[in-house]
Amino acid sequence: MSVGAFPELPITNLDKDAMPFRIHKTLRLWVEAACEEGYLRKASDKEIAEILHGYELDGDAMRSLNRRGEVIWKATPEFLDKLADLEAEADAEEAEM
Amino acid sequence: MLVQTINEKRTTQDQPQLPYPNDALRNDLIRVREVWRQSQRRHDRFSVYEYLAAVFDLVMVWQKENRAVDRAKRALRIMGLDGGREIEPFATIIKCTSSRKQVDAKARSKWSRALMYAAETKAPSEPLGHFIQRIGGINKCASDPSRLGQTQALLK
Repeated sequence: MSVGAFPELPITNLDKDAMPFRIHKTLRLWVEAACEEGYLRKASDKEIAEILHGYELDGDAMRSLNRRGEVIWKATPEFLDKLADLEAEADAEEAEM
Repeated sequence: MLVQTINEKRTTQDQPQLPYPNDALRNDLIRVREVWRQSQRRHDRFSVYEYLAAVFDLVMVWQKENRAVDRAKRALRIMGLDGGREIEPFATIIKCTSSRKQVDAKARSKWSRALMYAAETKAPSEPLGHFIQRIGGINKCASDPSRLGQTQALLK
């Protein structure tokens, strides 16, 4: 579901239509990656909660409100900066090759 | 009536609540403090709106999770500050994240009253800076325009 310039999607849990956590697109990709890394193909709400909790403690995820005033989870500005740096490094390496 | 409906929706619990340990709270305070620093580096008159928006967003999430006062108290403890007997979350976060030399008690009170007014009347989809400008600035928001309007109506 996309809401204006602030797209957000319920994370896909293969067995369920919707997850109780609203997660912004960028962070959602990382949560899904963490699920795959942990072989959590059918991650439960509890496991996703633990992943989010871990990201929050590391300063990579934060709680926020969307345009409807609902609590959502999103990547922190620091995490987005870190990702942008990694992407720039990867681009530079690719250009060198 | 519309405002009441908006605020009722804001406090509705609609997803499981995760624990919010002190480390997470500290991260959020550091983040808001960084916005404060950035706003001080810029010298335009609207840069403070970005800082106020960061304060507003944090407190509104806490309020949505029905933990605004508890978490404001914890923020004071983490920062080693005294908040007095009555804790007002907006004023508390401003106290915890801005310079006390630059933001005295009077300014803090004015900003927190403006944010309380926004919390009561602003639609979630409207950016705080836009809201404040639409109302006529921080002073107008802090002086509660609805009450001001009533007073002016009585004087006419």
